[in-house]
Amino acid sequence: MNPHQRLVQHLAAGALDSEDAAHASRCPACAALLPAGAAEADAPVDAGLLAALQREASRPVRAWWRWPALLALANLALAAAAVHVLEPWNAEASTSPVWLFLGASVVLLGLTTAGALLALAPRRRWPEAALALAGLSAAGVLLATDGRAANARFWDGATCLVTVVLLALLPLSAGLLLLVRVAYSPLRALAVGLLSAGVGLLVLQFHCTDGARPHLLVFHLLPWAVLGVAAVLLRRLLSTWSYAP
Amino acid sequence: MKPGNPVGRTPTEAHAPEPDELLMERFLGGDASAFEALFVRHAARVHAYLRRMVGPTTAEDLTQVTFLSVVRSRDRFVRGARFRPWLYAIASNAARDQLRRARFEQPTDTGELPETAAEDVLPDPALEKAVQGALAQLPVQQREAILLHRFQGFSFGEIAEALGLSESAVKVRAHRGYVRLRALLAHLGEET
Repeated sequence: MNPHQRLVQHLAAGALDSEDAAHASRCPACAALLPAGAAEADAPVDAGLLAALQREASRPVRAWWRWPALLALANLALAAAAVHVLEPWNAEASTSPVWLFLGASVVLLGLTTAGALLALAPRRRWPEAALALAGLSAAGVLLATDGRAANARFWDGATCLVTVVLLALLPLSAGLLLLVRVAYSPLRALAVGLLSAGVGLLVLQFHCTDGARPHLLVFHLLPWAVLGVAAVLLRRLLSTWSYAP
Repeated sequence: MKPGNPVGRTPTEAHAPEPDELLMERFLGGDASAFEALFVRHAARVHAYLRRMVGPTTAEDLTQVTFLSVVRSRDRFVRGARFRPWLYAIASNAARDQLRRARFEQPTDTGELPETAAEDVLPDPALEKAVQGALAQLPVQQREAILLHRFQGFSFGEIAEALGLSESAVKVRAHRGYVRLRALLAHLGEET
């Protein structure tokens, strides 16, 4: 049955639907059969738009995880380079149990890499998994420490804060670019902010020798959390390229 | 027909149209004509939904944005998922963004949001006016739940899928919306 026959059959049965109306909007002969105004009311978008959409539709489909995977790799490369460049190594200075230190480092590594895939996945629950990973990372930072203060004065540790912020700049910018490609979601934006700032946390895990919890809270975790919230606020201000979940 | 199906919408099992999900599969496989079929099938109803959500002036733009998002983000469609909740999730996201960025198009003095898609217009013009005005007074979350349930014929499960909520949360929103709507429209019952 072609669209013309379908419309006529539905018209006779008093069962016109949106498909008929859309067809009528492109077929003057069928439009003439409809009650006045019906075709116009049901045809909000013109053929020119449809053609434009079809042009866009003819572009090849790429897997959604391509860009998040690239972000994960970039985060990994940035963290590796920073760990390599910065000294000293906390792994040698810390007296906290090695398994705890390594465990926290692995969770942080997971946050900055796998976290990108989780945070930007099309499935709704996955960003929540990235946030859970972020929570574990924060707990790991506080637990995998010997508690010894290395700085003579508390505020000397502010360089750690600067490190977290500076190392988050590139990942956060890239993360925001990916965030505008999906619908605004505060949870997703928070996850991207935290994983971006997680690069700094990961680097400090190896670099910072101050294990005092006030230092970790104020100069590691506070800027990390603030950057997470900043990502939500920044994303809110940006325009959206696509509203897909 | 499901309860709450809009006026004039009937199932078309007679000539068994290709399911949305199969069309989406074909579209993902590179068949642009499958997108046209999806567009033709859903554009008017998405437009009607958006009209009720944000008013007529921006509804047309948002309909275009919705389908543009379908095209741009087709890689984000989870294979095996239902198409309609995904489409309306996109439309709802676009509407919410619009409402967040700009003030909601105010109803006229009579409480009416002018012009409504023909297929969703209630048979009684006075009732239609009153319903439009009452809908405009509902919070966005309740409005979208009611529009999808009452006017788009979605099940609560489909709404939950579209809005990313649990089914019970959707039922609570819809229930509160219907209670409020009933209160807002109570004067109609008294008049008749």
